[in-house]
Amino acid sequence: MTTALAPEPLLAVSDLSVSFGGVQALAEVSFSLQRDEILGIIGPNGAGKTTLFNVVSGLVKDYRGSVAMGGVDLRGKSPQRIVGLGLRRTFQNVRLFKSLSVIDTVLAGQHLTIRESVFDSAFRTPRYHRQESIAVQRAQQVLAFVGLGHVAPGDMATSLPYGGQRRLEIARALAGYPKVLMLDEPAAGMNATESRSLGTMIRRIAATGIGVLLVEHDMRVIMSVCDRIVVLNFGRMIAQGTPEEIRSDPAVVRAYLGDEVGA
Amino acid sequence: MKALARLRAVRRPEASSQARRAVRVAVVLGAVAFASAPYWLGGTYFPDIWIDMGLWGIIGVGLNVVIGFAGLLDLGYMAFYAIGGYVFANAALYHGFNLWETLPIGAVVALVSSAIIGFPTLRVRGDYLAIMTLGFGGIVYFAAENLTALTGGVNGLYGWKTPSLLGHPFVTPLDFYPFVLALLVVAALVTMHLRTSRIGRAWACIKDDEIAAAASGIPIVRYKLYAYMLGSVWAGLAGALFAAKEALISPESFTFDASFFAVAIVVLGGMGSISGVIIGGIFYVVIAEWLSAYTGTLGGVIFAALLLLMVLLRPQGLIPYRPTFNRRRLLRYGLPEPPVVADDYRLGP
Ligand SMILES: Nc1ncnc2c1ncn2[C@@H]1O[C@H](COP(=O)(O)OP(=O)(O)OP(=O)(O)O)[C@@H](O)[C@H]1O
Ligand SMILES: [Mg+2]
Repeated sequence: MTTALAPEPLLAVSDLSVSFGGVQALAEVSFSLQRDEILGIIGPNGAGKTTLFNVVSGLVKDYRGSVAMGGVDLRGKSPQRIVGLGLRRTFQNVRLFKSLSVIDTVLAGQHLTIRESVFDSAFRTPRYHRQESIAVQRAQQVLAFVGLGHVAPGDMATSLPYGGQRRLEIARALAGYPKVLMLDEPAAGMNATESRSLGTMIRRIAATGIGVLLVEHDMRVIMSVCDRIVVLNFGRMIAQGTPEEIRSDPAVVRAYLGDEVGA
Repeated sequence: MKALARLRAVRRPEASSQARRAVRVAVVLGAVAFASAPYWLGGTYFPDIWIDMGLWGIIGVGLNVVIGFAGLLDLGYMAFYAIGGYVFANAALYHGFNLWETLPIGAVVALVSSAIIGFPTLRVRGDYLAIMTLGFGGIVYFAAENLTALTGGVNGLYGWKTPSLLGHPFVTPLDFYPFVLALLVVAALVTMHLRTSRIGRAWACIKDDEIAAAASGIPIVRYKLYAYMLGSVWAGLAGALFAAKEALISPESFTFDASFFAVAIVVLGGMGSISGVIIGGIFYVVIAEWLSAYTGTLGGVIFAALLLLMVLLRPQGLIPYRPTFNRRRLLRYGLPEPPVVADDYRLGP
């Protein structure tokens, strides 16, 4: 039960530690994510950002501490179960399906919401047609939302330019009605214009009530989009706060921002 | 070659829809003419060959689900052909079942046995799966030779009452041929339907990237199991038809060679391509079986050489599968006017 003081966070990470052999990838990291909040996670290369995503999405199972979504402990749950609870992610090195078209990719993202049995599929029952219609129309809307409305839906996913592939990955994630969306460096490889429109899109996503975890190296995107920021360095959380607080935090400036923003 | 180039041009999207329709009509007419050949060729010799082509076509279509759709290398596929055959033989011999009553039983037994085999096996990855299915094929072969009470041992089972339908007995190959053809058509249609649906997309995802598939909520092991089951069921049905038509089932018909050739048919025809694997089955029968009648084992050698050439020169197979989302589906299911930009779509829960 939620307390009267604070609403149950969408995602709560507490005292999370992960080590790979001798490497301490994460050390006692704690934070929480609220509804329609954008939480930035920044830190130098190897700080543990992707590892954090891998723990939350169920790919890394060996960790100490706890991760909970809407009060449900995620320990021991398979990635699929966690998706079922409402978590979706993208990957730092884009992972699209090479034998699916653009629209099929977004349909694949709706695997858990399409209500169609094997029998329906095999024999093309009326339910198959109904479900397929709902799913295709949602796919078209989500594609338009992420800015791929002009792309030929039958083109292969991997034939899109790099920025398009990143957007398509976001569409695949969004199509499944997520509660929490984790984006791992969505602006990587984008030019200034593209990353600005990406930032706008992320804001629109959050405005619909989805909690967003955003890992990004592009400081303009981070600073203009995030409500709060968590800073990791060598797996440790060295700061947490609003963009303004982070910008002027001496520890952050020393560890990370010093050379990039120039304070 | 010029004709081929013209045909290629016709297949390109900018070619006029009229030309494409002409090609489609020609292909359909050709297929119908080919499929009806046993009727105008007559006798038992040609119908026998056509039945063989049909059965190998069904095997190709079924194994294509496992290999082509889900990307699982199955080297023991013909075990389910054997299971279907023995289920029919036992039901016919000891329980007086007719073929038509046995087919559903054969299908269910193939489904259940593939579930039992697949459940522990499909947890392992790649190479191990190939080895385990190979072992399973071996075990079934060994069981067929040695579980004499069920299988008749090396001599096999035979001597059941001739199957009949509505009082019409099935004696000549031409009696069985329509049912082989019907099963092939059903197998092709059903697997085609599966491919363009939720389950088919899930298989493609698993084949391409298991981590990304899991991150989309697709249960990997369960869907591999579905692929294994929904592939094996066709082998079970084909095996029952085969036993009925031969009036005999014995271990000879599903040695390792047979499982190997089944894989070869899928690779040669084009992994994932349904028309491709059917043509692969036809090729196999023409080259490996029919030619062997004249040249001894040379037919098998030629087929193997052809396979090697294929893998080297055209790894995607005779008729490569080209995944696209076709326009008609989009018109049928899509929005009348798909948005180019959308502002306020409900994205979250
Ligand atoms: N599966 C793994 N096995 C061993 N070490 C790993 C594994 N995954 C990550 N690491 C190590 O953990 C540390 C954190 O890596 P991680 O990928 O989380 O960093 P990151 O913050 O995402 O970096 P980047 O900005 O470069 O993406 C690194 O030292 C990395 O080498
Ligand atoms: Mg990373």
